[in-house]
Amino acid sequence: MDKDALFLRMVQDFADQEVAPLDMDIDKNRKIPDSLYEKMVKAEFLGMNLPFEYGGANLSLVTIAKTLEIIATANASLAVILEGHMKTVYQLLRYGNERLLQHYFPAALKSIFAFSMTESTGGTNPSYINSTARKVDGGYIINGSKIMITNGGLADVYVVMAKDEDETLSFYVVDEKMAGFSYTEAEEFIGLTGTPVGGIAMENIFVPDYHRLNPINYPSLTIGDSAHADARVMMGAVLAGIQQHALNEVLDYAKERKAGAQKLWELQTIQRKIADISIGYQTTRLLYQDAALKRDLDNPEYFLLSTMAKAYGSRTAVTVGDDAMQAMGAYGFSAEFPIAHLIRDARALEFAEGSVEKMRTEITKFEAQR
Amino acid sequence: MKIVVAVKQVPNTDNVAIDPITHNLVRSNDNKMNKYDKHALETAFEIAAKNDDEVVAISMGPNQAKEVLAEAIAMGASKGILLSDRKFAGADTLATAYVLAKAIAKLTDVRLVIFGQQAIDADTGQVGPLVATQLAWPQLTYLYEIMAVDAEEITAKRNLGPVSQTITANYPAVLTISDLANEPRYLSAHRLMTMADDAIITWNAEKLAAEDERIGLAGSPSAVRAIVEPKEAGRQGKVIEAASAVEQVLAILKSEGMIR
Repeated sequence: MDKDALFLRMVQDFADQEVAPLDMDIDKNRKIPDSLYEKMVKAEFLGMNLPFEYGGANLSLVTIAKTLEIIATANASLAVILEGHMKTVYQLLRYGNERLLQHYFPAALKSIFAFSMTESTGGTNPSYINSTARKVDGGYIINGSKIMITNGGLADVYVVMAKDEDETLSFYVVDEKMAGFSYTEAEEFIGLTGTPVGGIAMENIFVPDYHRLNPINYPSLTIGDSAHADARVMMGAVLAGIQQHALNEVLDYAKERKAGAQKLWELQTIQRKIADISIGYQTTRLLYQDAALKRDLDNPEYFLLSTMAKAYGSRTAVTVGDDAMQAMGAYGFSAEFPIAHLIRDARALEFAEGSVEKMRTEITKFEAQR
Repeated sequence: MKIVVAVKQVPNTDNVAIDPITHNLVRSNDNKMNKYDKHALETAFEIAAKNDDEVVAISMGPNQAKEVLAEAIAMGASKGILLSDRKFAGADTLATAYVLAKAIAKLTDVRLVIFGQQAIDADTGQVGPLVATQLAWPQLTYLYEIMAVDAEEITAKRNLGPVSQTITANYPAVLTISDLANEPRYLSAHRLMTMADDAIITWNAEKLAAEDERIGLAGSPSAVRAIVEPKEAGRQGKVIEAASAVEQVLAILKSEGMIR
């Protein structure tokens, strides 16, 4: 019995019934409605990669990524909220000690965890951050601030990157209950408007020793690279979902609308666009699924493939949106159709989780060092 | 006590096809749980929660039907029983009800048996009432609201279209549930993935001591010849002359039985 297929059928039902009808409203109101958020939590979407003992489903990344594609086809903002949480749980699973997981994971089924690296001085290049972690008796004192955190403001628990006294980039878990923790400004992005993005400030926050992530647990990737790799697989899935949405819109339109005696989809110039959208979607899908499978099999090449999934999928999704808009003519340009927000949603991924320029540097380095 | 919910695996399509030779529904590999059964399960869970009952899912079907039992368990049922045997194949509603009733009779301490009001493939709505008759239990059908679940009896409202009927029955009773009753919960991935291997058991004809002439094709007095889509009649209209319009309209309404 294919339990993953049964689960994905449920995800499709959830996306069709609960999410898709609210897509336009979510983009317009810049918010996931509370009722949808509660349904999402009740349906245990936050537990997809949590271990069984914490009430999770311990699903494979292949299944989780497919889930995000299905959700993103309905609404990309909600999919990115889930991606941010999954990414953080994955790093805790990989690099956190048992005591840390026992302390935080019970809450991970019901509330969001977030991963924070970016600061105003460094995003794509993390070595330019200024947050510090100073060793003291029994723990560390964290100082600094983070910006543009996916789910920043919504999440209660944050994995933050800080420089140790020897300039090593290290990761610590802080939460909103700690003295010295505060929220800073929320961003007003033009796309993925339903995903909360905001900053935090850390003023002399004390964390016990066990709140530090241990990079030795998985030495083939730095914690930062591991977080990026996992995020890029899932963002590839989100980008595939955005393209699938665009494809569905174009097909619905082109199969109905006529130009004279012919349906629009029978015209060659429209066929070129639809075919390119279809190929773009399939290629993005194949890239993220292969990356996910390799991650599940512990094949380190997943890092390269996930980087490609984001590099390729992001520009392709923007182009797909653009082609869809052109194929639908003035209707594509109308606020009553989703095409415009599909393009705005996709555009974020050309810099989120690392700019596409950095993706190309990483891919080239990998190829040159084979 | 136990609440038994009968669930059916149906094709995942809006277009049902009949095999012209066997007159049975064409089975496909792309299947899903009958949507009304989800409402039945939801009703069961809500009642069970208040009374500390156990919800048991049953289904008659080929081995593949274990998928809908797994889904029921993932939604909250404690276990699933698959009624499967080559001899059950080709069953009509009567033969199906016979097998289900035999299985239910083997269970102890049953408070309720709950069905969806109909299956979306055959759309007969007969199996629930047939099982009730087989078991000689009262039946409450087309329910859209459970009003009270008391120590000895249950009270619920039936949706009969323009009319609603409130009805009470003693346990054990058979219910069939309308899609107006509730919003079914989504399955729990945790429950699905941690399901025990023996959570679903299979009973065959021998286990049920089922009589050969009551099951399968042999036990089916009815056969579906064809499923046809009714042709749209189009809007029917009639223009009535102004002078005697009221009298004419009244006459028409009387002859159509809409007024007395």
